[in-house]
Amino acid sequence: MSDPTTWEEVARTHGRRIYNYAYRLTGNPADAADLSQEVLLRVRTGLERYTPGLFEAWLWRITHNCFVDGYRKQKRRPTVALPEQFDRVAALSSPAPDVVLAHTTLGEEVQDALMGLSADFREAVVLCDVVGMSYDEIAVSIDVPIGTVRSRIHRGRRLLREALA
Amino acid sequence: MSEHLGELLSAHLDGELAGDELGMLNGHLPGCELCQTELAVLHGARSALRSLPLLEAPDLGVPEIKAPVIPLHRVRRVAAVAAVAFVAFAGLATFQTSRPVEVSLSDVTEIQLELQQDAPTLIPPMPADSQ
Repeated sequence: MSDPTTWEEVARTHGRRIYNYAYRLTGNPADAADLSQEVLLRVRTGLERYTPGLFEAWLWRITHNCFVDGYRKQKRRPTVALPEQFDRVAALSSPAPDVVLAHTTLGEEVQDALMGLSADFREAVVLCDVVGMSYDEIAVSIDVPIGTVRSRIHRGRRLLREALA
Repeated sequence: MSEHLGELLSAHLDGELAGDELGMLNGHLPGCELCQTELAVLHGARSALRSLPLLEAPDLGVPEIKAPVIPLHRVRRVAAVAAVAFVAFAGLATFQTSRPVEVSLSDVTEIQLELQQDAPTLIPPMPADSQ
């Protein structure tokens, strides 16, 4: 598949994934729409300088930067500090995760739990489990080593599970 | 390093393990109840995230190219400099065009004598009382 040449094409082929990424990270439609539009705006202005090749990486780098810029501006999103003894595995007496999640109304509860994660963890699990990117792609998009991606996804999922318990 | 698998479990769920790491997991997981429980926990969280509905994107519209924003203080400064420059130019121009030229009577006499020498028939001689 060739690289898109116009922002309209980017919006048509990638807009839904960008919006879903934005919604899961911001937690509300208005901010998600703003973030998505900012991404498309930067795509529009940046397409002239884009060197054909790694379009997906280029696009998601822009998307990540937009999120980070917006996050820095607002600084009002809730964060959850890592608990002590984070590496301790879940107690065997805890209910089985499948049982817990069966009683969870997927959607709002998961979104609320996502918003309780720090931005780094939230973005990592969203890129992996919502957008569907590989660890390599995530590492390139958010410009961190792949080991960091692996760690953030693992810790993000564990914190999410605790929040849903 | 912990004797348990930790982050390798999430990577395993995502198919991101290979080589030695995959061998380590396959050698450890079947005999470790803690890691099996941990794997189930992670699998539950991963399933919850992947079960989130894919939302329809709204009409995002045509993004407008934002004009560069000039700070107000810079606009004021430029306007002030322009105003001062205009006033100075206008004043100088007015001064140059309206300034009276001071010419003494002796200067006029000399000029007239010179002209008289050049064209004696066209310019009458100076009256005697003006000498």
